[in-house]
Amino acid sequence: MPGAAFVTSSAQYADTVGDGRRRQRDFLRPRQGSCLEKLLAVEQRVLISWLWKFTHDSWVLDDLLQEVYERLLRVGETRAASIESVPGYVFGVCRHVALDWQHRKRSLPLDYVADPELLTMADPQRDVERIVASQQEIQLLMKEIWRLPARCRRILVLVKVFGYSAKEVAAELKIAETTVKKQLQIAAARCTEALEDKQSRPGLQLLCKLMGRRSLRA
Amino acid sequence: MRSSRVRAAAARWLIELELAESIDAIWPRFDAWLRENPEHQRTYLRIEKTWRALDGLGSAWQAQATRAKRRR
Repeated sequence: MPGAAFVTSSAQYADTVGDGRRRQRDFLRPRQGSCLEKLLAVEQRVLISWLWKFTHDSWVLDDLLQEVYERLLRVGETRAASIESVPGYVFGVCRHVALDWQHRKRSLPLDYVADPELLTMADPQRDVERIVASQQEIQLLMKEIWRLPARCRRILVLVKVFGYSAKEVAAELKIAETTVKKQLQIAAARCTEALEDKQSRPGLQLLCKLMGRRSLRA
Repeated sequence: MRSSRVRAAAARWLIELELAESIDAIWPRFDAWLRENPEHQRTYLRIEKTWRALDGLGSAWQAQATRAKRRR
């Protein structure tokens, strides 16, 4: 991405360790001293609460926020300098991103909430959906973990379930720390692939259905 | 094929960052990799999301173990 004014510093990153979502948001923070900085200086908190009105889902919100920043970063220095109303422009981008998302979702009505107090109200229906989704995700991950090679699975469980450090795992299993790292990398990649497969599967099933076939394979 | 290579690279960065005692030395290389291609950012965010989801494994594991004990 040419001219991208990404993050940040390692210190900024270190501050956010332990909080994945916040860390994801911090990825696209502006660097100081650029015209783009003005664009991106609109408080993230405000953008988050604004986007929340549309999504009511923290995971979707993360994605949308990232998309907003990506679009803003694509603006470029020259154009950024010529923008008269920075907040207006940023919220315009926000609105486009939210509308694009709603267009993709289609089933969701556009319910702009004018009262900021309403933004903090929990939606039990969505909470239930989120809990169910995350439970399904965990179930899927557990299945994938059982498919991992035994040593890889053992290392992942020691780290993620029992909270061992890489050093402790290496000592416990009498293996090199680099082996622990390698196995964790494999586990992370495999689990991500499993979740991605799950997300793409409904589309394929629908396509098969439309084509009147049980599988896309000939 | 290409996406699995990017996924493997993203996993490597994730674990490097997770396990490093100090990330100062790693950061510039990670940052450069991240900027190389928008696909790198997307893949990294996905892999990190999965890694965070795995944090919920402890309680799920315990619940499963408790259920198994009760059945016995």
